[in-house]
Amino acid sequence: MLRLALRWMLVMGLAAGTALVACGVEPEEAPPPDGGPMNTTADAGPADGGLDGGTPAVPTNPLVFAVTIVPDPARLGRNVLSVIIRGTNGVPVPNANLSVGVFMPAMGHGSSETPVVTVNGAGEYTVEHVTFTMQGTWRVTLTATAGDLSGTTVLNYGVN
Amino acid sequence: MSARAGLAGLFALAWLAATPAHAGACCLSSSAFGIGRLALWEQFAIIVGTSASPVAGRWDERRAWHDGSTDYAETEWRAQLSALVALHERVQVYGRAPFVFTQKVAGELSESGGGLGDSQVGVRLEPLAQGQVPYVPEVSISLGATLPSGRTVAGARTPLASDVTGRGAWVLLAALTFEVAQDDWFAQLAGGLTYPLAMAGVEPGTTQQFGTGLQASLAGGYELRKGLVASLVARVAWEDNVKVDGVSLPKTAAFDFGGGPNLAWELSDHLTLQAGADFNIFRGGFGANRQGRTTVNLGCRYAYF
Repeated sequence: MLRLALRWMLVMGLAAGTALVACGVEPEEAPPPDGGPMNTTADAGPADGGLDGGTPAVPTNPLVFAVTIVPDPARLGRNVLSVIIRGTNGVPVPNANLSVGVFMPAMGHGSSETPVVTVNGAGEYTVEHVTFTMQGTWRVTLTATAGDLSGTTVLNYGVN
Repeated sequence: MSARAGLAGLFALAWLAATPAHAGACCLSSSAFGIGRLALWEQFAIIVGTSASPVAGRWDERRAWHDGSTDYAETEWRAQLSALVALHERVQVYGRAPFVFTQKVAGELSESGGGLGDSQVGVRLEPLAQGQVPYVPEVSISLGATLPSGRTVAGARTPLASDVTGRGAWVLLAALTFEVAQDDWFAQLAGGLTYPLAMAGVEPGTTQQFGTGLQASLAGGYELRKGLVASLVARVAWEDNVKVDGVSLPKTAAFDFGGGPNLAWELSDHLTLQAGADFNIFRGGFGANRQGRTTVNLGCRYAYF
């Protein structure tokens, strides 16, 4: 996963601290829930393998998400995500239909507010009102569609 | 111990065992233990109580304890109205309606809110009364349900969801209690089961179910002087993983230990005052996926006969 992430960062010139997720990558462990470094998991699509062995899952039309959260680390209350969506060829995907879900698995509830997505153009999106109502681990799911391109990614944030 | 004093102690236990807030209203498991019982000569009872419960910290999914941070504070106040009605000398029905008020401060955010919480109704059956069979404790069975009458996180109107008062799930409850009173002391052992029904999930088109829960409590009391009973209770509650669309979410099981002292004071044949405290054990390993709190309770019970 680290090799893949570094390769993409070199290609796309992403800033340090940006989470990079592509569909088809094997899910990772959830992070320590005490404000530690953000970790990411991705929807593997077909459940028949990943980077660590087996046949790699290759979605038909995957999307690559680069996500940063402000503030970092995430905090109680409102947070803002900056999202860059590109195809696997590195071309930005403008005007994607991006939806965001916020869920706290341990408590079985969502957020008090609905995230608001703003399309900024050139494949860049801002998601406001990413609201964490209590301390613990939160799961944020981003789903994007643009024509025949689609992708979903799941990020875990520890809030202290 | 007089029969009345023993019952006064048990009344206090029942009320106090039902009220410790080991989680916020959004996430509080239902208590399987009901709200106590009526004495043989009582036709109905009304209990009014209040509690305050500040957060001391939390356990994460790895059972690690995190002290409360300096820029976050949360306190829940709860007022509760309960009633017991005797249908038969061995059968009682009960109902409980809590009113929850929560204050939260996180950094520059400060908010409060509340309302009606998740209510409970149930029936208590007493197949074996105290003294009915020599050397055999009293046995009672409670069956009930939690009603999702509170406001869930989805209906919250503030960023920190301080106006959330319920969990949103119907929960089936069952408990088995053994009680014995002898001379100046009494003891009680209780075990309970909670079974939340499936409900609409957070994501549209999904279903979700909170985990099945097991609860247990052990208590003992002593009559300090006529009409004044002190007791100690220890309790444990565990809840299985949350499920979404039938799939168990790993590391979402919850549990916590707690307990504390209680006092019951019989002011008259009809009126009993109750007070107590419940403490979690604020160390790693004594909880998971739960907030740690200290809860202070006060209550008043009026019985008619």
